Amino acid sequence: MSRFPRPFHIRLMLTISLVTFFGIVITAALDIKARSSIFLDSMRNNAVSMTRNIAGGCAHYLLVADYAALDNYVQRSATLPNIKRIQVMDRDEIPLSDVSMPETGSKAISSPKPERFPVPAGDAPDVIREESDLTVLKQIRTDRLLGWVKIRYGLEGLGEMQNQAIKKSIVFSLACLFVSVSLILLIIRRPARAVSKLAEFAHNLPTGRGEQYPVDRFSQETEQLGEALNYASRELERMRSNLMDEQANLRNALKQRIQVESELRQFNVGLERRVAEEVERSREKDAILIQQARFAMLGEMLMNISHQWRQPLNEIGLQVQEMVFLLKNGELLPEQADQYSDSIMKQLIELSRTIDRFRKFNQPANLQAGAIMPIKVIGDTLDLVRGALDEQGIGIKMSGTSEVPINCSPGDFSQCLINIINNARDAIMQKGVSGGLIEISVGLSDQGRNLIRIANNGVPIPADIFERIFDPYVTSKFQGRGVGLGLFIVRQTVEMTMHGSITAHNTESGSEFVMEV
Amino acid sequence: MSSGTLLKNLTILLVEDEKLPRESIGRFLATKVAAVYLAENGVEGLELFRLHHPDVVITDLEMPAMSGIEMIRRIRGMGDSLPIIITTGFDDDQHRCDLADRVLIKPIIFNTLLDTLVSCVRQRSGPDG
Repeated sequence: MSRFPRPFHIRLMLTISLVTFFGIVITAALDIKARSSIFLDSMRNNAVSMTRNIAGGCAHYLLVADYAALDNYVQRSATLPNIKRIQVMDRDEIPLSDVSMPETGSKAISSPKPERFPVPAGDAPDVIREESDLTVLKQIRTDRLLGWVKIRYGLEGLGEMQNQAIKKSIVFSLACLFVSVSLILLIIRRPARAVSKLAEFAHNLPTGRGEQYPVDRFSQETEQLGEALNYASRELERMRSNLMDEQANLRNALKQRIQVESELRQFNVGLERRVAEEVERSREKDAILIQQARFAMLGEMLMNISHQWRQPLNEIGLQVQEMVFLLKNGELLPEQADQYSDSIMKQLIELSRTIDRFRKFNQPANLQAGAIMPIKVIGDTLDLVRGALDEQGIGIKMSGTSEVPINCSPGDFSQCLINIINNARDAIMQKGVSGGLIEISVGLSDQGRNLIRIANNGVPIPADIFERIFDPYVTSKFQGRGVGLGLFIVRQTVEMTMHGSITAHNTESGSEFVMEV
Repeated sequence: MSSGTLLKNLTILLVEDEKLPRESIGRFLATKVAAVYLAENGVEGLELFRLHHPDVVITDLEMPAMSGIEMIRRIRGMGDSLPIIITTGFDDDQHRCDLADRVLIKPIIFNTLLDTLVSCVRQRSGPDG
């Protein structure tokens, strides 16, 4: 197929021409065959008829018996058209006459020595076709069999007729081919040229800027194609124009956007700088506030210490003065001096322990290595705060136990407890009634962690700050002494250091904080 | 009247919840004044006050059952204008009471306590007292 010419009109032309040519040739061949068959049949019928006549002419016993007359008769018969040879035998199959018609010349020649030929069995004529000859055998009869005659006809006329027919068909087909090609070329040339130009026009459409092609109305197809391409050209120009407009709009939008982005970038730079400054300022503020919170806690601790110290110091002072008074009056007995001394030393030792506990809780966390047992630290913490709580009429009690250690420094854990206890104390003080109680219970959660509940019977957590109770700078009225960072630090410590959680909720009698650590 | 004579005629109610200070101060005052009545809290102090009508009341503030301030308020509510001295461990505004004559910050010094007693009694008795 690739060897076939690509132009459509040439393909069409070639196809029509070849089909026409072969159609004519095949038609001619079939015609020749039919003619040949008819010719042959007529020749055969003619030969049979002629043989019957000759056999009829010979069917006189005188002719057969009179060899000279017979031979003369046969010689005359041989001059009939297409006869090449006539042979005659008597009923005993003895050759009587053998006359041939030479190719050149018009007189038959009788053979001096007639040849014998095989005879057919029946009385029907026997017709034999051999190449360009047709041989007919026929009985010679009157009322009885007299002999046989064999006549050979030449079929050269048939071959000549066939050759002429072939030549005519070829010439006719070539003529038809020529005419058809010419006609096709004549018909197709103009549309094909128009299509080529339209193709070129279509190829140049993108740069045509709406150019219109003069439509060739020679054929409907080229007219439609031309109209369609002109429409496409107009549409392309319209779309190009629209695209140009869109492009201009987009360019303007892009320009505006770039400008806005530039302004935004500048704004962002300024904003980032301001945010960084504000963050830094906030961080410094946070650091200051956290420091303040730690100082506040330290103050709380010092207050607890002062509560724990003031009473023993008073007692020591009273006992020393009493001892001096008794000594001056001569009333101090040695055993009394021992009692005073023991009492004073006991209280001094307790004061020293208080200082140790305070120092331990406030030393840096990195010096407080290892896990802690919550029960022990809770107990130590309660020792620190119990004095102050007692003086304010607030009871504190602890229940439950746990053997699960916490990975945390005792100072951090104790500070968390003190913060929560201080909040509880403030809630109780705000309630302003006696019988304040802080209850600490220790147990295990479903996950096997320490579950520490610190409940109080003070005022409940106000609804307006309930959701934000652990956020920084959130404080309630009763937390007037704080900066709102106590519970924030507690949550930070519980979540970040102890990897636990803390929740708060109000109860029927007050509020409760639950640590799972 | 000398300070010693003045003190010898005084009866004092001492209200203190801590046993050792209560007994220690009580023993010392007993050698200086006519009588000392000891109470553990405001309720008990109020009962002893009604019973003995002491000349001076010395009281702590932070106490169970009834605080010192509440007891002072009730004594003054009876219309009594005797000298009242507060002993407290806290030197702040929350541990002061306008109904009392003086506030002594712990630790208590015996001589200061005696001087305060004399001063308060004389102040309440007027220049002639």
